[in-house]
Order: sequence, then C-alpha cells, then structure tokens
Amino acid sequence: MAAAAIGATMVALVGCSSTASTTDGKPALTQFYHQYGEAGVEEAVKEYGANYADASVTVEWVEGDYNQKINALLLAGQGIDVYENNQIDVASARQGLYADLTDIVEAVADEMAPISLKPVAIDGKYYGIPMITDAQLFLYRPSMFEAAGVEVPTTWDELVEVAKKLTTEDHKGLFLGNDGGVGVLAYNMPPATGSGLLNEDNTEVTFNTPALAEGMATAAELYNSGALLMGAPTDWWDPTSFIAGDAAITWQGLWAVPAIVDALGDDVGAFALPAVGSDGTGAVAVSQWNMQVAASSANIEAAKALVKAQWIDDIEWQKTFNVGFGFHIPPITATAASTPELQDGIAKQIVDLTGQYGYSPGPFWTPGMGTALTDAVSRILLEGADPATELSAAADTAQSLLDELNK
Amino acid sequence: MTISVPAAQTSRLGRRPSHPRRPGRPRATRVAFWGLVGPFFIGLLIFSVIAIVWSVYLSFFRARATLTPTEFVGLDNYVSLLTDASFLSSLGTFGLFSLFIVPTTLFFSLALALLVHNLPVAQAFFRSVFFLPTAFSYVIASLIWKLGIFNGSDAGVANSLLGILGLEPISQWLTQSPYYWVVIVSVRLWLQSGFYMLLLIAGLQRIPNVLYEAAAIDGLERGPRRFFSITWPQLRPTVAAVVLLLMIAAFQAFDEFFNLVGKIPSARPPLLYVYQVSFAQLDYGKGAAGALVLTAIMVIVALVQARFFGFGTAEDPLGRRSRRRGARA
Repeated sequence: MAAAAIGATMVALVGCSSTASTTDGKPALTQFYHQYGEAGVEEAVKEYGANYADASVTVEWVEGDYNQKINALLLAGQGIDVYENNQIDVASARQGLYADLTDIVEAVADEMAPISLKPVAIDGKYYGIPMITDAQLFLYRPSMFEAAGVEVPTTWDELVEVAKKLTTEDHKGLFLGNDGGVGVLAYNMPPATGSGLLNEDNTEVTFNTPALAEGMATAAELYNSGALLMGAPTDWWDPTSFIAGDAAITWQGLWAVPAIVDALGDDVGAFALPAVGSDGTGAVAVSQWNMQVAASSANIEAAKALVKAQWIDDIEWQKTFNVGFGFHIPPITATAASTPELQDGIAKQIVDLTGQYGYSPGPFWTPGMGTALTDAVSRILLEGADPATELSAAADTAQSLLDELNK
Repeated sequence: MTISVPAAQTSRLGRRPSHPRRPGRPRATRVAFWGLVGPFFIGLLIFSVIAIVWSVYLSFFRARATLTPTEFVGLDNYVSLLTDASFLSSLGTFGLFSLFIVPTTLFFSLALALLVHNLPVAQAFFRSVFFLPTAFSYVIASLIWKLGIFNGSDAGVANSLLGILGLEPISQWLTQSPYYWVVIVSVRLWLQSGFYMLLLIAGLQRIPNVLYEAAAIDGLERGPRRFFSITWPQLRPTVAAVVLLLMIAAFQAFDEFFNLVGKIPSARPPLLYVYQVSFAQLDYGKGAAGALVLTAIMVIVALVQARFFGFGTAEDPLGRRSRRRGARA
C-alpha cells in the first residue's frame, strides 16, 4: 500500500507541471537542497539561485525526509530539475531517472579526488557532480588523555582498553552514538579490517572475515563495559556532549570542527578508526553530497549549465559552501588545497587522515545491504549474538541483494 | 361526483403527484450532493482504490526504482518476502507484542472508563483530560519520551525516579531489551488509552440501569461479581470492537517505533520493514507485496476474531447474540 501511495502521489503531481520558461524568456529551474544544520546555508543557496543570470532558479529548501521527497518527484517525472543527493542509487540510474553528466564531469575527473568520484560513477558514467566531502573519524581531548596517562590507540583492541581507562565518574571514555555504536561500527569496522564492504568490481560482499568477527566480539565487550556514553540528549553528529566534556573520545564529522575549536581551543585531536585484526588499516568514513540533474527536466541543458557553473567553475562559491558554515572538503583537490581554513590545526589533520585512510563503499552498497549488516551488528552488541554466525547471515543477504542488482 | 385518479396516472399527465413518492433529485440537490461528496470520492478513488489496485499490480513485477515496471516476476516478490528472516521475525515479534499490548491497553482503558463512569462529579472534565493525549502527535510524544522522560542522563525523569528509589540510573533505555519495551508500551498506553476509554464509556452508558436495580434487589449491589455478571457481558460488543481496533493498531504500529527504536531489528514492526523495503531500498514490488500480506493478515485476524469473539454480531434485548443477517430474518 505504501508503494502505491507514491503512485497516487505521482498521479497528483502530474497535474503540477513546471513551466519550461519564465516571462523574461529565461529557462525556469527548480533546485532542491536538504536542510543543512549550519546557520546561513539556506540564505546562501537562495541568494546564489537569485543571482544566477542564465536561468530563473527557484530554490526548494526541504525539511524532513529529503531523500523520499526527491525520489517521489523523480518517479513522478515532474517538478524537479536540479537537486542534491547523498544516496545515488544504481537502480534509479539504470531506470533513467538521472541525467547523464559524464560530459561535464569527465573533463575535470583528473582534478578530483578518486574517492569523491566513486559515489557518482555507475556503469562507466557519471550521474552527479560531487559538492562536498564529509569525513568522519575520532576526535579526542588530549587533556583527558594526559590525565588518564594514555596514548592515542593504534589498534582496535587498544582503543577498547583506552576507552575503559578514560572512563571516570565525571565522564565516559567514548561516544559512539546513542545506539551503542551499532551504526558507526557496522559501516567502519569492515574497512578497518582491510577487507571493506564490497570488492573493487562490486560483485562480491567482502566484510565477512574472522578479523571482523573478533573485532565485533571486542565491541560487544566494550558495549557492556560501561565505558560508552549513551542516552545523550543529541547523537554523535552533534558536538554538544563532546564539548560539554561528557566523553573523552567521540566519533565526529569534520563539519563540527568550527564549533569544537571555538569551545575547546586546541584541546582536541583526531585519529582514524584504528586497525582491526592483523591485516587491518585505519579507516575514515567518507560520505558526500552530489548535485544531479533530473532526466525528466524540461530544461535539461540549462540545468546542466547551472550545475557546471556552480559546482565546477565557481571556485569561490565552492570554497564558501565548503568552509563558510561548517567544514567540509571540496572535492576538487586544487580547491581543497587552496582553502585556508583547511590548511592548519585539527582541520588539516582531518583532511590528511582522510587522504590517507578515507573509505567510501560507493553506490553498489545499497540501503538494503546496510540494514542487513547493521541488524547483525545490533544483535551482536545489544543481544550478545554470536558474531561469526550473524556476520555470515548478513553477508549472504547482502550478496543476494548485490547479485539481484547486478542481474 | 369526484373521481380519484391514481398517482401514477397523474404523473403521466404531467401534474405533481398528490402524495409523496420517491422523487427524482432536483438539479440543485444533485449539484450539492456531488459538490460535497465529489472531492471525497475523487480522493478515495485516487488515494485508496487506484493505490490498492496499483499495489496488487506492482507486487507481481520487478519494480526497482520504478512504478511502471515491465518485468513480470509472478510470485517472486511474495516468495522473497515470506522467506526473508527479517520479515518473518518482525511478524513473530509483533504477534507477541499484540498479545501483550492488546489486553494491557484494554485493561487500562476499561479501568479508566469504570473510574470515570462512576465518578459522582466532574465526569466530563476527567473524560476530556484522559482523552486529550489521543489528539497528540505520535512523533512529538515519542520525542518527549526520548529526550525528556527516558533519556540516559541522570537528570532524565525516569532516572531521577530510579534515583529517588535508590536504584542505579539506566543509560540504555532505547537500546536494550526489556527497557525499550517499557518506553514503547508506556508511550502507547498514554496515547491510546483515552480513545478506547471513550468507546468503553459509551458502552457502559448503554447498559440499562434496570439490570443493576434488579441485581440490587437480589442482593448484588457491588463488587466483582456484579461486574462479571452484568457489566462485562453487556460490554461484550464494545469490547469486541475495541479488541479488533487494538489488534489493527498493533499491526499498524509505526511512528513511535520509527522514532524511538527504528534501528533495532528485534523491535521492528512489519510496517516499518515494508517502509524500508519500499522507500529506502526503492523495491516497490516487494514493498507492495509486503503491504498486501499485512492487509491479508489483518483481514484474517478480523474474521477469526468475529468468529470467536463476536464482533459483527447484534444483541437482542434479552442478551441473546445472533448474526446480523439472522437477526433480520
């Protein structure tokens, strides 16, 4: 019934066709953004749209479930021209819902970090222009490390021990989120084992390894140790609890660095998720927002011109958008290198760690596979289930979904 | 001499009939009828009838990221769904959840209804007070429960109460069983009990006072025996309706689970599973199959309940139950 509700919505939306041009003869474009948490972003994108000379741009600022809204509009084939997307979907690309932007992106592909291109590349084509790259990793309070007499951990097992030692009556050792670390560890421990989630060809699920099973067993021990901060008023992506000193280490994103530095000065450091198992490596999660053009747009050339002007040609705009509100890494490497805010202190440390350890599974890792893995990790951590059994079952489910996708 | 003319003949002659008959609706009435009913009818057609038919259609196709699929897959979506351990476990969990939440809500609602019904004063006031949470948003209530009452800090309402009782605070209210069931059940009882209380009060008001007076003459003035001999049997049709509505509500549980424990597989309602398949995985074929399977389960539950508990039956003044069709005959 739920799926059909979208169908009904689609019928309703068909009546709301967007006009191809305005009275002044300019093509009319509708551009969608999700609700960014940082103050000032909404005003900035609306101002950019209002000042864009070659089209009449209406910016839609979407609060709530953004991905559902754009998916519904794409299915309806009406009312959407340009939009940002952080979940580019292989099936949607193959159904022809996204405009092919290969001609625009290929010209600058050499100038972009390879990891930035991974989420927009499907079947040899580019379906989006990377706008901002977000890095997630551990931030810590050096003063608390010093007080506890511990060093920055270099392995997962060391991290677990350090978290326990850092736990006092006043604060916990580690904040992995209010879910006890289920979401963070499910997505980031597999790359830290060196195996990742999928192979390079996107044909095999690779996370089911003995190293991950052992790491998860240790994670379950950590969950039950009392060293984790849980039940905080906001989740890990908000720095409030870390700034308040409720945890010595937190999983956090680069975007929160300005607020954290404002509050804590230089009492903050960063490290990647440490290696899990003997073949492991550090892991920094890389996620990304990308600008796309709807294949159904009535003004597809004007829409492509807008995304090129804004997200490839206008370097100053990209710098403003990436560091003017919260911090993100511009996907064009020369732009990132010439952004002063990312050239020193904790921000530079995070950018360097991202370059060294950044991991993105790409669009072939779908939400369905993610649910299978997080369900398994949830049962391991919260219910004490056997890691090897759970991971094996999750890998089977994920592999069948991947096979279905590759049919 | 006057000749009486049958109405039908008068009508044929073009005169107004001299006595009422089933009239053709005047144009103004037809316009008013369709003006008022039309929008609702169109909405029903688009959002219910077409949606249901489209769901059935989608469920037999491979419909990934499309609502106009072309690859017919027969029963594959149903097979995939009914062999998916996640879906089956969510059905199992929510079968058990229903067995718990339905009688619990019924008990609370009935207790409230009896208390309010027997109040000598201020009945309307307390009826309104207990009914008010029904008008509350599930999402906002979930956030209040999550951030205010059951947050993991020592300052949370629940943890403060535990502190007063000399117990350790709990930081895992929303991750650990059975704590999260306490959160879910309490928010659900707060939100729903008032509505069912109102239905049960209406049922209580239907019970003829003469039955209680007769019982009093026989020496049965109060107590459990009076309740089980008069009140409970007389309430039976209302209770049957309430139980059916509660069962449906339990299987349609979504908002508070999505907002409080959405990522915990052991507390995932079937509807949330279907939502994720449809809108996160964009597999509209399997999602539609899931929605139809859930609908079928609810219909079967309703039919079974009608068979065993009597919903859909009428009671005659002497308290004998009979099927509606039989009652008419």
